[in-house]
Amino acid sequence: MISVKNVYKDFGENGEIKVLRGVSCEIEKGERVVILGPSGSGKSTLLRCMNLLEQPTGGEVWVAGDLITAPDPYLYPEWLKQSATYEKMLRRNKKEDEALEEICRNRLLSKREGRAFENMRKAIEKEKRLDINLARRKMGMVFQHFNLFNNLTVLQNLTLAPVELKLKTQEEAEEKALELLRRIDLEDKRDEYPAKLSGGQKQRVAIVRALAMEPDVMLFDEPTSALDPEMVGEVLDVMKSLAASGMTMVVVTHEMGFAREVGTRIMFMNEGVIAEEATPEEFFKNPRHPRLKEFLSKVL
Amino acid sequence: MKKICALLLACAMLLGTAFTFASCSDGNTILVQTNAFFAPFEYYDGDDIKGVDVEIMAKVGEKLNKKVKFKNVEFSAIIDNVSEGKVCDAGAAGITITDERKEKVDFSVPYYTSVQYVIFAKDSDIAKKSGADGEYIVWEALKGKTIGTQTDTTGWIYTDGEINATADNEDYGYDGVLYNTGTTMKNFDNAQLAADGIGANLVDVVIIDELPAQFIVSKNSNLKCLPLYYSATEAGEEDAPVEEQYAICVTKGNTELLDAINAVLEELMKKDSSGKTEIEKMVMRHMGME
Amino acid sequence: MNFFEGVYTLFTNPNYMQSLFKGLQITLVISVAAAVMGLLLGTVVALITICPDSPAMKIPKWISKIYITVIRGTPMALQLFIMFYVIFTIRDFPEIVTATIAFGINSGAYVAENIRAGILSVDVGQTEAGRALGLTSGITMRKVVIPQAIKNVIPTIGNELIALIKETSIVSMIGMYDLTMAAKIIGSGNNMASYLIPMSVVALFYLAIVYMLTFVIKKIERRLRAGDKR
Repeated sequence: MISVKNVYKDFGENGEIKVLRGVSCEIEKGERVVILGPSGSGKSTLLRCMNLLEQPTGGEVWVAGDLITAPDPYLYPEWLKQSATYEKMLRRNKKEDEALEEICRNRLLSKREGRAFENMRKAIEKEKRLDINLARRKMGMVFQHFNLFNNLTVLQNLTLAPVELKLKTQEEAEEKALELLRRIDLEDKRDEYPAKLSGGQKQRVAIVRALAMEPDVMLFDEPTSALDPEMVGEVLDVMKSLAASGMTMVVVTHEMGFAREVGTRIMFMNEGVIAEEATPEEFFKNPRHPRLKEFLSKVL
Repeated sequence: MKKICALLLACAMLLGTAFTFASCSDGNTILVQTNAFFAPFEYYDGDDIKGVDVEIMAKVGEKLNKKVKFKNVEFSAIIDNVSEGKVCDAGAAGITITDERKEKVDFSVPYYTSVQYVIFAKDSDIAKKSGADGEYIVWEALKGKTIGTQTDTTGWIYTDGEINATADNEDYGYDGVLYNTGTTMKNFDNAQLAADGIGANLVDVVIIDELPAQFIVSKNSNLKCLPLYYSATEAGEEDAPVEEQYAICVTKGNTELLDAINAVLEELMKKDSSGKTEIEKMVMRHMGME
Repeated sequence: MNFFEGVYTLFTNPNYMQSLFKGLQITLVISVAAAVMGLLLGTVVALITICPDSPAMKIPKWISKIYITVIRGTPMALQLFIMFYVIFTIRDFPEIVTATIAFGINSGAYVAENIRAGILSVDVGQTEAGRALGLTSGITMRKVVIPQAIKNVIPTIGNELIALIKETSIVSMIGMYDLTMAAKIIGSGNNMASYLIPMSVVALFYLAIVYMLTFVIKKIERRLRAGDKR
């Protein structure tokens, strides 16, 4: 479904803040992957890289067999072997494997031969890249701060994208939207503006807004973190019923209960890499990584 | 993006139309610039600019069989605009002939001789200090005063000369009467603003041409005006008024227009049986003193 | 003549009233036409400045930046002079067009900055939500960001319009027959021979126009805000 290959993400003017440091993972259809980790470990950034709200500095993201990022030459040994850097290293009697390994580890290509690097990028790009807007239609996203369109009513929030992208007629979209609103018990709020909803209601609407696009996978970025405690339950209930319907989900959260109950796999992120990956049972029973042990002892 | 392009295009077209507007003006109109705050020579009567200069130019238009169009601009801009000749053909604004202006434009024959007048508050002591029983004011009486003028008029040029001229400055070659006497000058957009400056204590006196001065004083009961004189410098000489001559100017080399103006002016300056010229009668009429 | 007698004379003299209304008409025509032009130009420039950096946008962005810097950095009076005495020195050119263009260009720079600030003040989450649904940046802008930005921008644009109307009074400097010129004419030597009364009356005219405009802007603001009562 989604495959993340060796993704790096730097922030700051000169890339001095390194948030993701080579993350690879596969999200299979039907899986419900929960990403845990201390704040600043890069879990939200990883999620946002999956639908390119953040552009990775290096590495690739594939969605349903299509490349959505710029291609990353370091992932293609056959391209690297054509580079001048590689040839130079062979001339200095390096072994082929060692040379490739060193180029990738130290990211030598971009520093030394920007031109060749760019040409490679373009060549690969032409072959395989998919328009990101098409990819995003299949990936629903739910934000920590809801991000409902403030200038539109609840119903309009749900129908905007399907109608604008000509996936549905206005009537079809409204029919679908009303059905979704019924599911979360907010049909009576159809003509309200977001400002009049409570936090929990907003987040539930945000979830069905994403569902209105009939996505194949849903990404949740700390969906309950900005809510008052008594509203967390209603949002989690919606997510649970979504899980029960078989939706593929990737959830960044601090809700351990949800992770244990709903997740099929848990990833623990620390300092920009996936430090541990396991089934929920395994994860909570037998944490191996010392940082994870510390983390669990604090949150449980 | 397409829409933005279309919008930019629309803006460009707007400008384009504006330019086409410009190109449809024919050679069949004489464009005259004036400053319509100089009654009786030119003044606004409601929407229309009227006055002696307007009548003169209308006669010129008749003679050449062309339309005449007056435009109100700042007085100080007229000479340069006529000199360039792009936006107008002539300037008719009671313009005094000076050597500097002659270098830029061609002048018609002079059609009116004007005297510079001084406007002052009625209760001012300035008249007492002047010569000839208070019939006129000499430059010396203005020492230490603040003088208001209309920018670029002859009053402004003369006052500036008397205040700033020094013998060792090549442009002048003499010491101005008011040089180094603490006299200052303030410039205004028009004569009325300058005259209002007296009531507002911005200036002590205003130096401006005779007729506008008469006009202003006739409507403001607390103001008076008297002609401005040079005092005699040598024994046997008499004090002399500060005189100037008005003419109409055209872009250099526009002889067709200049000849027509001169012909009209000569006609208008012939004395009739009562000894008055047509120009003098026009002046009286526009001052409402027929 | 005391002040109130003077005001009475002014209002009862048909010639003076005719001057005032002719001046009022030109002031309004310049203001409205320049405001429309300024809004169009300002919107285009604002959109250019907030476009993400790309090679194709480099030159338009550069031009926009210089335009805003120069126009906001120089006095309106000088811009008007340059328009009239350097750029549009064309025989018999309609001066109202020149004035409109001068004020439209000036207003556009301020409007562009207002709109840019208005768009940037919309939470980035709104854009992200739109993009995450697969909407293009254009649709997100049009359907989500700009409608919200307008709400933020209306008061500042209103202020800009008010400033524009008052600023048009400087066209009298280059001899145009606007409201201020009407006052100068009525106050000139052959008419009332005093500036005080006509200037005061014209000030009242400006005040009335601005007051009405403020009223309309408040109305629009209130209507736009109806959607998000908190």
